[in-house]
Amino acid sequence: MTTRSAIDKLLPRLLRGRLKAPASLLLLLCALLVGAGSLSTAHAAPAASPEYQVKAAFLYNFMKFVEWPGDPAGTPGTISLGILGHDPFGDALDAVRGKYAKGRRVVVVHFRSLEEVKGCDLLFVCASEKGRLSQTLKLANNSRMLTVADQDGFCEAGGMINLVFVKNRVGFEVNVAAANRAKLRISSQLLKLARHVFE
Amino acid sequence: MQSLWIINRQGRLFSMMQYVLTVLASLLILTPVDICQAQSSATLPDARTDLMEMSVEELMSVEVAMVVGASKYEQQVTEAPASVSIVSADDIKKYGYRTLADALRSVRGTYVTYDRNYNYLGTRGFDRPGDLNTRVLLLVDGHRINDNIFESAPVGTEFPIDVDLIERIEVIRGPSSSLYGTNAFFGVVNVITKSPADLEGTQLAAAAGSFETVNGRASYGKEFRGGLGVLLSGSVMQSEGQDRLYYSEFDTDGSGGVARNADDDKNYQLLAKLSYGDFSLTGVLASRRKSIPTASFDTLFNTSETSTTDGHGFLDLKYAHSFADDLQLNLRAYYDSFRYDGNYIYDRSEPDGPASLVLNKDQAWGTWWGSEVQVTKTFAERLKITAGLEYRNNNKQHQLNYDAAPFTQYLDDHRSSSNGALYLQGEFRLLDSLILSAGLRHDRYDSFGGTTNPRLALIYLPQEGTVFKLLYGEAFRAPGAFEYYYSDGGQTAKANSELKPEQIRTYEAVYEQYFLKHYRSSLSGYYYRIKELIGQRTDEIDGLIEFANQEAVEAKGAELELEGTWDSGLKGRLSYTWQLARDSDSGAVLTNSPRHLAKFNLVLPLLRDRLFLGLEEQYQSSRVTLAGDRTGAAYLTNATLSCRTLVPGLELSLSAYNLFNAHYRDPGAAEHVQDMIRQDGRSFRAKLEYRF
Repeated sequence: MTTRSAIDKLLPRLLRGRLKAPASLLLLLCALLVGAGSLSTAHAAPAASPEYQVKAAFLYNFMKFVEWPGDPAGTPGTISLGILGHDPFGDALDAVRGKYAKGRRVVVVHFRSLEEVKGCDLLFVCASEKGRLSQTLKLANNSRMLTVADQDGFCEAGGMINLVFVKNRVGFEVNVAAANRAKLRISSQLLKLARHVFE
Repeated sequence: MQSLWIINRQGRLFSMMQYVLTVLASLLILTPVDICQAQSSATLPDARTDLMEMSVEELMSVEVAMVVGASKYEQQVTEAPASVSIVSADDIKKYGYRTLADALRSVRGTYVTYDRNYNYLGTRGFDRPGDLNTRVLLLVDGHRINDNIFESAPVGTEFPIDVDLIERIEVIRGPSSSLYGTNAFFGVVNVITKSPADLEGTQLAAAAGSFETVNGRASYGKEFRGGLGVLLSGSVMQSEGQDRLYYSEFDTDGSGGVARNADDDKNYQLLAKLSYGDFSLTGVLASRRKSIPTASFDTLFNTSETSTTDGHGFLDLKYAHSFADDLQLNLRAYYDSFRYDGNYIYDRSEPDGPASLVLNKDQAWGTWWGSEVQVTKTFAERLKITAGLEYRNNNKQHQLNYDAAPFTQYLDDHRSSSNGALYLQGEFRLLDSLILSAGLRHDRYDSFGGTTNPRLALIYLPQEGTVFKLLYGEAFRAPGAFEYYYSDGGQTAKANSELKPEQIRTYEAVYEQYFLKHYRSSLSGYYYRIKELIGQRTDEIDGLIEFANQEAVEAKGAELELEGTWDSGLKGRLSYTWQLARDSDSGAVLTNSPRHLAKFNLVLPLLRDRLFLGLEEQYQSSRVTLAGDRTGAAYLTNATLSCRTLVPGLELSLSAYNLFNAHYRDPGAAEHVQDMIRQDGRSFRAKLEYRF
């Protein structure tokens, strides 16, 4: 049966009121849906998946709970969040950008390749960079960057914080030794919450 | 209260509506109360700005809904190529679900029919009396449960897993033959069981309830330091059932139409899981015996000896390894056994002769083993390819029917068969906001040959919290050994080895919107067409009954759902389904197909995180029976109070099912004299659970 004939059948019935009850519920919920649609603000950037919205919030928290030695890596008064590789966050980072951590304004910088990386405090290593993990970590750790990723074996390979997704929830692992070598101090509050701490 | 909905035929629906609207209004009113408590944000997307304000601890509790069964790998529900509903362990506890059927009944668009022996799951307006739950694929942790004789999905007390051990139930709507092959016709129900780490210790549970029902469970789970995980659990249940069941159809029988003590039900369920590194081994053994009080198949009325026993057992070994270069390898090997033992008491005495009761045994024994290899690889984060190879060998498909004494054999059919399949699915991220999922599977059977089934999904996420899905899928159901070969020696039924698979084509559109931080709403519509539907018919030449591909069905439906979740534990869900399934030739509405389904679920925290009220309202409109009569609408209320007692680890729950004692009936099948079978009235259950 075509949609057309379905509508032809449904409409007169609606008008006669035989379907009054379901129709009124339908209208009510449609109104709710439309209302809801108009409430949510439109974004130009691609929508972030819920998982990466949560992960973005984790990155912001890490900036608050880690102490870097010496001067800021980038422009004074700012704290910079670098994304290396293909960005999985979508527009989720928009919510981090412009916020303040340790009294410094958060700026987000994208790097297409390792060669471009410079002057950032937190470096998120995207899954696309998996193949060159050791070079990346060598450079980042020497430059006192907090290295974060969400890939299996990141901490084992010498990365500092790895975001893990277990049982529908985001958690994280910390490699304290790697952070110590780069003279970064990760707060004990954060360590307490880690799923796994590599000493 | 009851007068509110039990009015005349026309008035009933409207009164139900008033109720639903009141409930909806109360759900919305509850929101500001919760916001006033200034609880930080919770479980759903669209809470971004709030996420930034959350502490690490709070972030770690934010839940993102995931599903495994839709693509054979874990993915977000919003990006899955199907419309998905999830029933969580928390739902099972807070709503007091006793069986898988209880849990499935609460899901949008489903309904369950009970003939006092088996529960039959209705989906998308389809649940013909006499069909054996063959058009939904039931999985436990991805392992196929439908047996190799009847192809049935056991969802009642014969389901082999205790519902307490379920972590979540994924209900994946629409055809999934492109991944799973046969039975994934209307949908897939994937039951994910708890892991050793979920238990982390010992649990003891005991419950007692109406109809002299008692059950108990002892479970132990632990993940040891070296990475070894162990879970062991055993459960038993025994119920005397209704001590008197009145069926007016048997008024003239000596019993006066009352079946006494003929409704008992008992089962045991054993589960063992071992995991180490990439390996996991699951073992299941379960059996259930149910007396049949309805005197189905023309058996003697008012006896507890007519019964069926269904046993399921399997061993499943899995290996899952992730390689560094975004490559995931899954291997699975399994061995299954299914036994069905039917005892049917017949009165074969001659008129005025001596009483002669005969025990007829109807039995089936199926065993099968198989394996599956699946590889998933992601390319440049834009393309995810899954390829798989599956082989199943039904080394035993044995059906037997005989009279015990004097011994007369009617059927002794030994078969074996095998089938193999190859499948491929690609998930292409065309744009950051646009996903195309395309899958194709070819199945080869030694009985009827080959069949190829595709699934296509276009998923569009234009902005925060908005999801559109356009879905198309084809699926098949292979005829089972029962349909091919069951006969009773030419007395009434004969075999038909010419059967072809049933086919379905489904079109579906889904719109989901997450809003106001706590809400999710969805609106969807579907249309499907079934060809070559297998049903029973009488051969005009020899007068024998056989299975044949004969009917075609066309159906359409629309579903609406509104769901809310808050941190305090408050959650609610309201859904409405309109559906119309007809026989393509006659245009007649299918039997046992309600036009309207409405459901409302609410968990209300009464005392912070200690005391909760779980409330369920379920409405289904009248259904046509085999005799062309109508069952009348059914309106049910279930309520469960659950609390954490002052003793650490001890939890107590009290449940009332069908609280207002509504009288309602389900359609009977051809094997029943009853055109409609009355369902249970009000019943209770008290349950204690202790963890240490």
